[in-house]
Amino acid sequence: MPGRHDERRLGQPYPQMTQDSPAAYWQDIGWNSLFLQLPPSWQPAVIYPAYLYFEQDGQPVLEVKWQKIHGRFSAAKILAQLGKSLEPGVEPEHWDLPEDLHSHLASYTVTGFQLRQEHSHSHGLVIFCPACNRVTLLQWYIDTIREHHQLARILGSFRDHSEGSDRLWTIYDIRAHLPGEAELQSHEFLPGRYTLCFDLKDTAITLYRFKPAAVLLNRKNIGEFGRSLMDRQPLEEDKDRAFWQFKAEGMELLLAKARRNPVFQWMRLWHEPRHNVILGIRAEGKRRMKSGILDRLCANYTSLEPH
Amino acid sequence: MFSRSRRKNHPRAGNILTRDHALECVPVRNPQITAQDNGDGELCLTYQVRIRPWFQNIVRKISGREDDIIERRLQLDVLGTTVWGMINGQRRTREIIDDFQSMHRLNRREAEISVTTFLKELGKRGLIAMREDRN
Repeated sequence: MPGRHDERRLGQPYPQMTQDSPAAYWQDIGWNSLFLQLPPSWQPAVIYPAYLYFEQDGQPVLEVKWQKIHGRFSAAKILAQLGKSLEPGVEPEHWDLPEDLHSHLASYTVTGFQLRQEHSHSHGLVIFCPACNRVTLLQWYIDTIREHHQLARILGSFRDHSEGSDRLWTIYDIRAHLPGEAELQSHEFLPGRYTLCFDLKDTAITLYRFKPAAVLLNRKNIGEFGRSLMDRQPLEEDKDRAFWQFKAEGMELLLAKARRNPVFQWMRLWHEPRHNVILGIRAEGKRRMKSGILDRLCANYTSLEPH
Repeated sequence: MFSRSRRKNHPRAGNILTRDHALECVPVRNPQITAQDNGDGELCLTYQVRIRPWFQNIVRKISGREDDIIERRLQLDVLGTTVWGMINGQRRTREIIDDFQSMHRLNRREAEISVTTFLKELGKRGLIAMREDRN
């Protein structure tokens, strides 16, 4: 029943991938509370904190936009807003989501729509979750009838909030579990260098991913490579990992405070030869963070097989 | 209105390649380029550039040379050298991207952006041209 809170579904954590399951061939997307499973050929092309746009061979296939609702939810109001953003003469039309697809979203309030534009015909859903008060606009450009199975699986994987205290962040070939309070401040996906910056209890946490590691570490070791990120000598260093830690004391502490520089800096870089990648986490702030938290962040940050 | 009429009269209007079409093109090296290995797996490309007429006068006054051709060098890094090595006049851009992606275990999009940006840069300098089919 649409709109009914389904304890069973909401109680499920994010689906876990196993090597044996056919889901292993699909990619997980976990971004700012949203979770979806998508075909591996669907590539994220535009990424904002609350908006994702996917392409397949350069053609649009899916757009997702989401936000918290303050006040009462009204699908009509959201569709009217969507209509205003379209070219003149194009209006969202009512569309009924097939019943079997609807069953995948039983715990949400779902309103279907379609857009007939000059060069494209798309379908979409306005999905409201009463548990987290979040509304998601899901719009796809694939044929709903021909790609029915694919769509069923995508909708079946849809989650707009996590049940546990951690939040999954997975996109392209990185996967991290961060505490739910970690808020995304900025992100950058440049070829060869991904950077995700979070704010976690007044500590700036940065996730790094560098590729191809074999080339980047061709003439330098990981400690030397890390010096472009933190201009200090590593505290510990071996072939595939390096660790930096700095805590300002005495005069340095006074200077750091006067200049509003971080008093505490921590960074770990490690090389995963199997995926030809260098991963890293950096933390800095005004107070020392418990090393247990940082160790847990590192343990929960991994690279995946690229698509 | 203005933008439409300008686009219509533009000499290259209607000639814009789609992404798919561009990926099917074959990059071809400029035969006048010499590539020199600097010993650590990186190439240095040497190519000639014709000086623009207004700049030629300045060069003539300063250096006293009469010819309007100067030599330029482009140092490639390891990745650039890899892609340069893949340009053989037979491989399509798409195939180069595929090989580059699997060689360095990159994402499809990451490999595509890296290779196409590099090819665009080579094209701007006249180091390669794009041919629409293999033959």
